Amino acid sequence: MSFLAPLFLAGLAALSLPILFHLARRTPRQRMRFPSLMFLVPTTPRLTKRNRLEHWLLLALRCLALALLAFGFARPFLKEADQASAAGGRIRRQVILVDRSASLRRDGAWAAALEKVDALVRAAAPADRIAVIAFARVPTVLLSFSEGASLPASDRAAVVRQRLERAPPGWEATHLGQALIAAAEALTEEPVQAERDGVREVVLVSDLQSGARLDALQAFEWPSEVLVRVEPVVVRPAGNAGMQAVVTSAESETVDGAPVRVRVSNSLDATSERFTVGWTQPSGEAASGGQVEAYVPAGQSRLVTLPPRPAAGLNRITLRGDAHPFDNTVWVTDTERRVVPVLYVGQEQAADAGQPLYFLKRALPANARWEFRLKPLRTETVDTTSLREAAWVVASDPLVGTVADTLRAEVQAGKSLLLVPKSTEAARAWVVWLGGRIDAVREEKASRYAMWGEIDFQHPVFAPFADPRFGDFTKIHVWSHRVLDPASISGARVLARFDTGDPALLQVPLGQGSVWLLTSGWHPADSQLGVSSKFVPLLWSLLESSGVVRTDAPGVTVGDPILLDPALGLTRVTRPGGPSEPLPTGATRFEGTTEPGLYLFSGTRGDARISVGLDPGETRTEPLSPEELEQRGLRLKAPEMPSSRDRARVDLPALEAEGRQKLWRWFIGATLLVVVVESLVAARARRAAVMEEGVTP
Amino acid sequence: MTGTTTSSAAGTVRRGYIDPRALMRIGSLELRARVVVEGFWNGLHRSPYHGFSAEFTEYRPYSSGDDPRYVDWRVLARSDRVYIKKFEDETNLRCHLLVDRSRSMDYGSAGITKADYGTTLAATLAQFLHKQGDAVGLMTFDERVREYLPARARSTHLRQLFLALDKPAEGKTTDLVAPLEHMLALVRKRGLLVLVSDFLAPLDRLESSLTTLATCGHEILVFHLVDPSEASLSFDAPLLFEDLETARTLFVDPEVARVGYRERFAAHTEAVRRLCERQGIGHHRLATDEPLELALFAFLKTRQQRHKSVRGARAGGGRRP
Repeated sequence: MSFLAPLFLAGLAALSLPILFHLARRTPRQRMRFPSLMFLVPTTPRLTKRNRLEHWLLLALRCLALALLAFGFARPFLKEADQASAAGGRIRRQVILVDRSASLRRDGAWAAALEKVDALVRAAAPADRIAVIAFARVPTVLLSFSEGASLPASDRAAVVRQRLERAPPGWEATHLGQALIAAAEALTEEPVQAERDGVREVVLVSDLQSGARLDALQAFEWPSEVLVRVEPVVVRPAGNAGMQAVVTSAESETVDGAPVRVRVSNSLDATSERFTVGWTQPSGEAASGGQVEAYVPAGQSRLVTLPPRPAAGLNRITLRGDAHPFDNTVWVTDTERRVVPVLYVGQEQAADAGQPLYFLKRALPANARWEFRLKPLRTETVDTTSLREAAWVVASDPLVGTVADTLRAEVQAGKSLLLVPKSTEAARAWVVWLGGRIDAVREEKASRYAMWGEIDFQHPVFAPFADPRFGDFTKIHVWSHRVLDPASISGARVLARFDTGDPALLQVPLGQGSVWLLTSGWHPADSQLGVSSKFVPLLWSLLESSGVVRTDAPGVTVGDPILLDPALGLTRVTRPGGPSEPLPTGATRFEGTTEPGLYLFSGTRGDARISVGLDPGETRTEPLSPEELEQRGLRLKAPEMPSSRDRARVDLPALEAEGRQKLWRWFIGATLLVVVVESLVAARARRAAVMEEGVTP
Repeated sequence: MTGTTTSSAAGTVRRGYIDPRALMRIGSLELRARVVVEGFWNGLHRSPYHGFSAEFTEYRPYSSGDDPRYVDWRVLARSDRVYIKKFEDETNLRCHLLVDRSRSMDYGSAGITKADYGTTLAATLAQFLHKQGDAVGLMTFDERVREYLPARARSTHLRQLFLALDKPAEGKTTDLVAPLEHMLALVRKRGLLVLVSDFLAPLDRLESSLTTLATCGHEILVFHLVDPSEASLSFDAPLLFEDLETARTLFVDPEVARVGYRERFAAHTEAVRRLCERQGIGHHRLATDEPLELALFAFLKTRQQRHKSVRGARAGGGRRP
């Protein structure tokens, strides 16, 4: 029999204790209540031969319990059995999951990870099957099971090292959940030979930063036969501070732009709390006059407002005072304002507060990103040029003749049209224009008022209102609306109905574009929509759904696609510090955000500058507790690998044999049994003693 | 009767006395006391104090401030001298029983605890004195004074006294000084104080308190109760001794500790005895296996000796007209 932790055998020295107690302690049989101890002096217990003879069984039981406990803790295993299994060849399957997220760019982290992987591959038995998966945002198989099996065991370590060196840590976030799922699937998909199937485990070599994403594991049932062993990569010095640009929403910005703000976060295990944040010149030096001090206690984050740029053209902000610089730089771009021409067709005065135009103008104010140029035209003055120039057309009065055909052609080509017929005539004209039946169109004046009742919150237009806090439209009273038959209009989809069941908002697809039809106006004669809090969000929602405006996803991070504006006709991209590359024709997304920095896009009708930042999770480098993995259903195995320095002493077969045999359980069980027997014997002996002696002094 | 009992008490013959263990089997304290007192007749103690009474003692010349009621007019008429007639005071004895009820008194090796013995002794004395027509008071104490009944001679008072004695002990430790000081403050008129205790407490301040009481004119009598096994430490096996008062435990092998213990215990008892001797206080060491009658004899003997000495002193120093 061998022991995995022979040091615990030193506990056998404790056997001397019961022997000593049995020899030394003349246990008083009973207590004697005595009037006063003022004349008594304590007596040292004497050794007597009588005691030794009297309690030999108890002594033996107590010694046995202690010895069994010491043996149990020493984790015994039978070497013969282990050798037999090694010869018999139980095959262990192991997926080594290597983290190469941005946080591994810290000093010494990647080297430590490489060493750990090296040790793991070398420690594997020749028959063991090994796969290596590197992961950051997405898992990448560096060595598959089949490839690993085809390589000679002696070459595996070198091949793995070579491939890992070729795939160093990038700038991506840590999607640990997906990587673990990929590893588990690789293990479960591997064919099994029942009689030779050994341990299946995922060995995770990672810095286990708390910013790692585990959400993918929520929907995954972890296979019970797959164990996870964590080999943490420890980085010194601990603690890290990082910075992210704070994206302000388009609506909150003034025309003059907003002050630049960054969020500085400090990890829980940080040692430094004082930093300097400021603009950096292209040469990398701090721009004088553009620096600000930031005090961020460990585990907290602070918003820092930067002073105005000391020189034009500066777009790089650096955090100074942190030991790990990988996440200490952010890039900011100047907001560029886009002009959106909007054509309004209606015979109204812009200053008439009783007409839809009045409300529309106020619902679309200019901000730092967008400028809506509203052009109101009467029906008769609308020309084809105005129709072609407009990015969005809103019509309350009907169009006839050639302009109506031009409008149809423009919509079919992708333009968006919002119809708000103010009268039954206008409604009829537009229904005809849409190809519907006019006999069903009529004016409905509700006796009290109608309300928006049935709303399709699944549709993108109403999706922002899906939350019950925002989805109450019943406060908007509708005094009159036009009734029409949606079935008569080809392809019409009713997005909202009044409580009377009549359609309130319809979407009619027309070629590549869409026509939106509101059966009731937002002006006070028709309804309260124009003065309700729902009006502006609904208009923006319609603008976004029609593709007229595009709200950039706040904070593009490495790995995220950049959505390209087709209006700009972008043809080339320049990556940070790289040469200019052509973009595929008609591309709407750019997928190659591999590092943080400024991405410059140039096109035939304009340019775009997009800043790409690091995932904020990478800044949170304090270690994740293994319990969090367990909470997500993973079966964790205690780390058994000593540090890389001691890897020569690793005896993995012994470890495995011990784990399989689990002899310690028998020893602990036996200990409990002996303790029970000892208690019974002791109780019996005491009873006998009491009966024998009585209680007289 | 008094004379015969006194002579018997001097001897060591125990035959004819009631075995304390048998006595303690009687549940009622009152009955126990009555059994012991049976056979003693109620005697009237001659008081050394003067007052208005039928029995004349002496004449003395009138001095200003004397009550004119006591002027012997016949002597004045006969001899033209103003004399005051003095009478022997016939008031009975005022006795206070001070009984220790601390936890250490709860110890008893032979079926009788010191507390039982002490209360029975106090009850016996009370019964005896009451039968003589004397006023008896009671004070029970542990670390502080628990019960106090002023000295009275009424028959109902005796019942109250028995009830107070029968109350379960509440205290823990012993403070011998507190009751004595309390007594000093409460009892202005001189009388007899009988202190029943095992004296298992430091004796540092006891002497000064006893001295103060003695100088105030109180006659003090001490019954020092001792349990036989407590005195001899007559245990065989090693035991874990637990202090009744402090609950402190001590592992003691009596075989080893006995000699030293007996010496220290004897020294303590001797210290109490000497202390009493120095103050002219009667000290009686009573083991709980000794008959209670012995205590009565000792009591009477001490009283008689005291009476004789007072009479003797008066006979030598008194003046007759």
